[in-house]
Amino acid sequence: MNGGTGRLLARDAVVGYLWVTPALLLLGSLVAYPFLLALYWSLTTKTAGIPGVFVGLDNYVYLLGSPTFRQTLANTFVFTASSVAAKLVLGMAAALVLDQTFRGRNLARGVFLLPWIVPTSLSALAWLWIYDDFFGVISRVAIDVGLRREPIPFLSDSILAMFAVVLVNVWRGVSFFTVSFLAGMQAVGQELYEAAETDGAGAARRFWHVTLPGLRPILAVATLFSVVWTFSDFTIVYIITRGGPANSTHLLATLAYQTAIFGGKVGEGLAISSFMFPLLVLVIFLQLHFLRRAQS
Amino acid sequence: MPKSVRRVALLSLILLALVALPGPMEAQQPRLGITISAWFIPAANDLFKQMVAEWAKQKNVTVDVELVSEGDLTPKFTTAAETGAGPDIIQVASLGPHLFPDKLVDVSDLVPALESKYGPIAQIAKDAVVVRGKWRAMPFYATPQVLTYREDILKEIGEPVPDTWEDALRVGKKLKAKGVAWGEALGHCPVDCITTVYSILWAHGAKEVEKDGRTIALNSPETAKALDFIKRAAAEAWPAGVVGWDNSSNNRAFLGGQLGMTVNAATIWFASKKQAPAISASINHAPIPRGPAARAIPFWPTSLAVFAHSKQQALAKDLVRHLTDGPQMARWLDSTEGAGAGLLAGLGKLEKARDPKLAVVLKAIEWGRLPGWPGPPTRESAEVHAKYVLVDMAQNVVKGTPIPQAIEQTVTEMKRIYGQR
Amino acid sequence: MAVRRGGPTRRVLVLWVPLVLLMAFTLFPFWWMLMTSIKPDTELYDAKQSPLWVKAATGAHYRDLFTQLPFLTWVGNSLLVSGTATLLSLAIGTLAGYSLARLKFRGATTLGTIIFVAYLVPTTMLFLPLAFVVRWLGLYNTPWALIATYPTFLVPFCSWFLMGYFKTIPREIEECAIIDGCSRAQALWRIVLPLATPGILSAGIFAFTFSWNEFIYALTFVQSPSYKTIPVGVVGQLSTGDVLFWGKLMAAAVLGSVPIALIYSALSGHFAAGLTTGAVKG
Repeated sequence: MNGGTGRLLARDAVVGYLWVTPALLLLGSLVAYPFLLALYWSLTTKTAGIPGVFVGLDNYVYLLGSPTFRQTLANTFVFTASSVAAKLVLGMAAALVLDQTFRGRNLARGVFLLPWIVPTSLSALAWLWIYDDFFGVISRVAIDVGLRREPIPFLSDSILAMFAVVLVNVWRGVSFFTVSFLAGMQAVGQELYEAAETDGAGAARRFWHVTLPGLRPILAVATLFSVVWTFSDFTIVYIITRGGPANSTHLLATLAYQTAIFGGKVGEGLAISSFMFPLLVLVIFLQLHFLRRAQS
Repeated sequence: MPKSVRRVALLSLILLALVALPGPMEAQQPRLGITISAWFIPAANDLFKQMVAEWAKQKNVTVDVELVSEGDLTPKFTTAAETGAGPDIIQVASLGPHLFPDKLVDVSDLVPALESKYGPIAQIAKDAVVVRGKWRAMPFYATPQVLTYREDILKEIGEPVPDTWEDALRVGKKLKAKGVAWGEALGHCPVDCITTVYSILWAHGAKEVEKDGRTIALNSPETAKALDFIKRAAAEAWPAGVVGWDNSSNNRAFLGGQLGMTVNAATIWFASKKQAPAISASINHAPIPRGPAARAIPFWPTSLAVFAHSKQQALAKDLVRHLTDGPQMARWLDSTEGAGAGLLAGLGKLEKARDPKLAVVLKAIEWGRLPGWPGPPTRESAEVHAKYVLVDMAQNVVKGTPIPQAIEQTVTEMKRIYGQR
Repeated sequence: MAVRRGGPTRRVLVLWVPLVLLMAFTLFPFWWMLMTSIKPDTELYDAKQSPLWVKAATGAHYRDLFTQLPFLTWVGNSLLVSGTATLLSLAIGTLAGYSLARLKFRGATTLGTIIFVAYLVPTTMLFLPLAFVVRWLGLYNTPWALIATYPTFLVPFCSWFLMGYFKTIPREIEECAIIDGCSRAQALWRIVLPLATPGILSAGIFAFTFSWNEFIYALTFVQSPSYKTIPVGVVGQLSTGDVLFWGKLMAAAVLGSVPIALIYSALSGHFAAGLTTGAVKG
């Protein structure tokens, strides 16, 4: 049997390399190369249309000393942490609800996906109006019902503005967790549930001991992706607050864009974007670390 | 494999094949791309496409006219200048030509013919496009901003149209009591928010830099006075949320009857005809208020530029010539129904008579200044403008930062941008 | 002793109340978008009117979308670009995901990490240098510019998503087949893929909506109106400076999303069927 396994493993290796190649080719040419180019530009004083001078880490040093950048860094972490946490919890709750059998379930699942499907630029515009001082639905209802006398300053109060953009991000992104969990729940064997029930486990214990462990791989991957997306989110803040008021909602992506494209400082803007990369790597690494610890 | 998935896979293979097949030889004719900012008047967009088509037919050329939103024009411009991936001709806002003059084709030779027929081009438009003696773009038009107000409401409170900013504040307080406030945008938006801050600063005599364009001159009593005015206006007259307003907030609020006075392009009046006909008749325009030092407004001339990366430079230049020529400009401006102002002195005799309410729109050009005033337009002033540095200063003051501190923070930021310690 | 299942009250608490809350949270902006899309302009801009109800519904905004704008063209482009990019990415991602989940070969973990790390490079950083590459490849201003660049963020996603999904499928099934003489390719095609259909469909739907939604690359790499996709075309022509055509924008939002939701509802059946059967017990 040994020779057979050996051959199997060798064949596996060939197949493995072969099947991973298309992905690597694509990413090498269309991601790695432009990325290295961008990294190089971030080490220069490049401004739009004008080649820059190589200045090493000057841009990075400048950014670390800039209060706007430091605030943006803080904003990005707050935004990501609160949004991902909310999406995970709500997504799980929604998956538990939508996993049950009821008439109209397929329709409900489809409806639930709508926020994810609508082009972000369009739904962000809708939320812009929803948050509006004069026409916004939420303020109107609050005033009509008597909760408030003035419109809720979603877009002009620093803290509310952050809440506002986080809410939109959560509204959009819950479906991702839900769909992932639903797909994963299908894979958890029915017999495990039956065994747990006969053992006398109630719904909560079934969830904790059967569902959650079964969902762990999907949960890990989903959270990982959500962190990446949320950390690099651009459209929502760009359309609703443009980083204001007073830079309290600027994220790394929006600040980078404003700096490079509108400010013309391509080198500096790319340096801001480049910050995202190691930070993300760090966050992901920490997540995986905790995951492995939890597993063992 | 489920049947449906197989079918989908097959369909897509077919689609792929169709896409991959070489299209019918459209490469027979030379092909040009032109990108402009979409007008809110659909008829104006259609007219523009038509004018382009007339030229294209004559020359046997295909032209793709791309309409983008105002906010997306700058990214397109920057990306195209940077990577060479972009249209042949692009509409450039304000100081654009100063950002990368070498990436734009020299169009100086188009100017003499135009000026000899239709008179001189407005000085401010010249300043925006002439870099080191060469014309890097052809001035196209401008949408000057004016004080838009409700005649009926002003009559009700017994006030004349304000002429100075302090008048405006006095009137604004009364308007606020009536629930139809005076409001000016102070958020991170490219047009209205910049106008609010720069106009008030200049009106009080403040300036970013000296005439040399490099010495930072923001820290002055004039700046403090201007900021004090903004602080008072925000506290006593403007609605609470102005710090979060974008370009369209004051439009919406005005049309919805919540705002009675605001500085804006003539877009509000125009939109009111369809969207708020009840108040349309009582909307009128006046010059932007003045301050102790001046009446001034940041100006937005747009121009048409040809990229150096264009493979059809001669044709592109000719299209630009055609579009900025007298007859076309007149037709174009007519289609904007007066919201757009021409930049050629002699254009008046070609245009249709404007609604008298729009007369002040044309006059507004004389009060226009480019960011960086009194210095020349530079890359640094464009960056200060794009990063909302001065707007942030005003925002901080409104939110409670003491004025001297706000000014100091801003000067530090500006020094960074200007590369000084 | 039989486990107490609880009667209708429990069902209301555990199902209907959360469901209604969920739907309300999801749908209220859509309700607003829908109302706005059928509201005439005069009602829209009258601050005294309720934002959540419409008095004189009109189909004008929808009609204008098709008559004043090349909306249909944009829909076609979005479908073409999103569909093709999704299929490409699923194919590449399935192969890569399966290799990383199942096959042991040197450097597998490293390659997996590389693929994922590529995903961490933000598009707001990449789009500028990528524009160079796109132009150099001659793809600028063609649908292929998008079809070729979208997989850069779809493939890492599909690979990792499917990798996680493949791992939940017990190995024994394929191992049996391989010992019986199947090649890996055959095992993948005949055994694993049918079992992994829910995962592949999920990945596909996500990939499709990412492409559908994508803005920056579509704005940067395409210039001709006839090649534009929905987000860029709609926002470009309907949000002009300080006047936004809310009615039409929301009509576009509704039209741009409902079809996909319907597709998902239809495909949702594939999720319900199948996995929880004897195949898993093997």
